[in-house]
Amino acid sequence: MLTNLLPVWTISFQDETGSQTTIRGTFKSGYTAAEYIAFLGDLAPKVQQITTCAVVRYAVTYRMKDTDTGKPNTRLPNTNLANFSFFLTPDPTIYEVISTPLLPSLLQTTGPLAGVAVDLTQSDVINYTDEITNSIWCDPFADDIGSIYTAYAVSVV
Amino acid sequence: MAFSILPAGRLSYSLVDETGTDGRMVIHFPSSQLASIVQTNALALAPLIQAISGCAVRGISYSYELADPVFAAPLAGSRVEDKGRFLWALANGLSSKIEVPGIKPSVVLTDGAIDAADTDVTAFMDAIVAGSAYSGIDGSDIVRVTAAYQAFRRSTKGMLPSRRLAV
Repeated sequence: MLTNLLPVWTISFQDETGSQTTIRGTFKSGYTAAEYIAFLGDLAPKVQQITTCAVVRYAVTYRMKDTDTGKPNTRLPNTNLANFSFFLTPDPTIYEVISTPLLPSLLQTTGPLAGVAVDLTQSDVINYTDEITNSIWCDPFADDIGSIYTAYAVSVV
Repeated sequence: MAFSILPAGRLSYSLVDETGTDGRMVIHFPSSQLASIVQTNALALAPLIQAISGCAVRGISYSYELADPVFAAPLAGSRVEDKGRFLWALANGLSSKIEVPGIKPSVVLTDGAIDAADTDVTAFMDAIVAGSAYSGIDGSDIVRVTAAYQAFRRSTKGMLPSRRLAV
């Protein structure tokens, strides 16, 4: 059960040597992202006045968390990963790669790419790629993600 | 300061497999989208990720980020380890802490306390207390500052200079 947590604000600083650090705090709920950003836009120059560092970045982060804490929580990455490459709608010669854990049963079982390529005809895979293609998702430059190009397994050791 | 919002926000799913091992999936969304719409879409995608990964979604976080591509140069002698530690009283009786890196020497008194009469310090503290949106980790109101002083943090390996001896 995913539950909303309070939004978090962060402000990042850089000193003369290039070292960076980030401070964070909590926002009350009930404001829009634009309002949170406006609060930070007011705070950032005031922090700048009392620090020798440069304020380089600030952000508001919304969080949801599964409140079930009964599962172990290690820091190791999942070893069964797949990279999904999508065409970008504005420029189909550029791709956006999204990496996600993948069930081994969704890999192709025949042909030259057996065990490597993701079987894009499986219904669960189609549902996943269609949702990414048809929803709000984009690349880091806000270019809309288009149709799936290819997907393949990645080994992490 | 000329901060502008990055064109795309970053959304991250925290995943966990049956062994308890963590995984992560990152995707972006246009910053022009409302948080409520991002959350609706994120929740719609979550079960589809679970269907192809077999992992459980333990958490979702998404950020709107602003950056200054031509930020002013840090002042000479600035070090992020040199903190101005501000302690705040919360309405529920608990406390909260904010540490401003590279606190200006001009706002630190000779005994290490931060000069609460300095107008820049006052403006910063007022923005937190009277800002209405800032809170403690449990959402409790920040009522007032209870202490403000200089504090130093140990340098991490990444903060140490690459040149260890000038010859």
